[in-house]
Amino acid sequence: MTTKEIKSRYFEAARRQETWSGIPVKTTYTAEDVKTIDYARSVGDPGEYPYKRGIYGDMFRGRLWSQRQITGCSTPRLTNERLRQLISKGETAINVIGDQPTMIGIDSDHPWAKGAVGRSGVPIDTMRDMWQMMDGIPLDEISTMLTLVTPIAIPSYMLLAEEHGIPCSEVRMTSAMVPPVLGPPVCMYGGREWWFDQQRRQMKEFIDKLEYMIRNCPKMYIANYNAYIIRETGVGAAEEVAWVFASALEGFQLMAERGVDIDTVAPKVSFTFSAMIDILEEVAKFRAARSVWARILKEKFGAKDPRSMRLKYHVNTAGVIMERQQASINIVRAAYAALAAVLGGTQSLQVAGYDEAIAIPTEEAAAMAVRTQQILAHESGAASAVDPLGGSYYVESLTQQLEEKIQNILDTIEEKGGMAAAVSSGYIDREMEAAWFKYQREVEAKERIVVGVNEFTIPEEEEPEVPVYHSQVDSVLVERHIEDLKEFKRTRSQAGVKEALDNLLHATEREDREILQYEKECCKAGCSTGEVAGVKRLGIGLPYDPMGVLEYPFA
Amino acid sequence: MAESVRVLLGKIGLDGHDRGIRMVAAWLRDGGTEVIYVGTHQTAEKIARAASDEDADVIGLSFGGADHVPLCKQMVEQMEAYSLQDRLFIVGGNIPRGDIEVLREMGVDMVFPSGTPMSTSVSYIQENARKKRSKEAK
Repeated sequence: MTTKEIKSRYFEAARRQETWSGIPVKTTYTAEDVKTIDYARSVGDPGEYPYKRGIYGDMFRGRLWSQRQITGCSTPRLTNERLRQLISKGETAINVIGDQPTMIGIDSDHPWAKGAVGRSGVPIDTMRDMWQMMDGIPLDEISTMLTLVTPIAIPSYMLLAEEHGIPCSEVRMTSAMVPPVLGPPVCMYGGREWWFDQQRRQMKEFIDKLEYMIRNCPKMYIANYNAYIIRETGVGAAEEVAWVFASALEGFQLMAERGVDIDTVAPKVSFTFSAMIDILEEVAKFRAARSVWARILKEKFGAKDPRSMRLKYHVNTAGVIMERQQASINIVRAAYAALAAVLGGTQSLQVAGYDEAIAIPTEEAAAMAVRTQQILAHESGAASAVDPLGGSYYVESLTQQLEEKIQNILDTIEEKGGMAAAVSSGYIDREMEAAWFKYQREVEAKERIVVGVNEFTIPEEEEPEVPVYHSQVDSVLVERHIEDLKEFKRTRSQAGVKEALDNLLHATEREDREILQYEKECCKAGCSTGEVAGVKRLGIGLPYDPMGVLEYPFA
Repeated sequence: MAESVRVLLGKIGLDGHDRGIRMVAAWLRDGGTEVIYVGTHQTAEKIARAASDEDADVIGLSFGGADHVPLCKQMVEQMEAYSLQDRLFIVGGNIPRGDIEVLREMGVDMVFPSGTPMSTSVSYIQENARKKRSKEAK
């Protein structure tokens, strides 16, 4: 480094003059910037409409956010071990994620699954896997989030509760889902070619299930709309919120057409958002989201119950901000994103492992993430006062700007005929592509500095070695899981399996509103992820196997 | 003047993380390179057949599902089956460092792990797309 370089570093000024999402930022914010904001009408105290400052008056003083790490190791048993480790380290809730075959709806013994089983999450082939994964974890005491996508996830969980004699009404579970109308642009699990044609049926089945759960299992929240995956594509904070809201609102409209009261369904809806690295913009985003949601529910849908207007959500710290280079510095990035989520008033939080850009987290990386949450909760002071940034000239001004942006995008979507239409027309895809292209251009031109990536870099050969989860797992365990599945399929009652699958097939064909009941019977009979998903595909006129290799074995 | 370079990009296997490869496609197109993007959930055989049909100079695959080792092996086998050993085979995505050498030994010409600047991978493709073919032809 030359003396000139040293000197220029010393006098270096903050370069960025806009937020992560591109909102211009002035040098100073004063009372002048917030003078049009009427506190009583548009901000309000925490716990009061429009809930901008928080959905509860006491927020973390009443209860801390759920500390909920995404977990999915190579086999159900290894995942169970990891869950127990995390709980023993102080994790307060759990979140399990499936591997690619499970998410796409095929079994571990499918020819395409070879090499993918247990690589990016846990394989859940049959109800036995769910039970093994949850072994010894008290269902009536822990809050569980299922990010499994397989159609057997929810019924298997319900059956597990029954097995333990816990009434369904006492089980606290949230199931993460891709909003049916959002499908292809953000859904990585296939189906792009048929999704558009099947949109109406997807939506209808989802609402059937939602109705079923509201009636039978009121603490099981199956409508958790995923905005995190929207943000991960590279779009801004306002798009993240507006697009996911537009998806949820389309569901409400269909429910209303069925004559379901908004106050019956809205309290059952929750979201998963991302927390990016621009701390203050993210805080403003969460505040703006709460306020926009409350207003829409009250003014547009005529909700009367405050629970309908309170925006409940889980936050994943962003995956896209985690870099491969100098991986350990990701601990800091995740901590800042987590701080943003906490200052923004989240109900639940996952902190990404610092090895996010490399593989699923090692035990050490996962433990680090739990400790990050605990430092935030108990040392940082961030949890002490509700909405501590409320009243900041900058944050209030940003919040207001984001509210306007979100509303404008919602109006645009409405003009396009709703979210499903906006997706089908390719509009959403184009917006996403433009956003990530712009982002990458800015990084390459160093208009955005990413530490270790385009500035403050080190030579590749000096990169410290980072432990990789998969290299620590004995591949024999994965092989054994696959063999065990084959053995189970051979020895179960074939007649029982066929009967349950046939019943599900017919129920799907006639669009039976109690479809969940039939899926449950399939799980009981020992049917697998691939069989249940396959039969449901057959029922709507698609091939049994999305990969086009297998035939329905019980035809 | 030589015809423009043809690059075939896609994803094989179950993983659907397609942001990276679609960005590479957009970046190459922006620089005037002809790109055939075949999308996600392809097989090695389909990729090889498409590369053969389209007379692609480069085959580029991207992985985000930690299944790159067995799938790249399949790709190399299919490239042999379709006599495409003279085409440049490049791989990008979430590839742990320890696996880069494994892939190279298997026959992958270059690996661009996540975080590689677009300009690096794109200029590599543009500079090397034809080199292997002209060398093998001699």
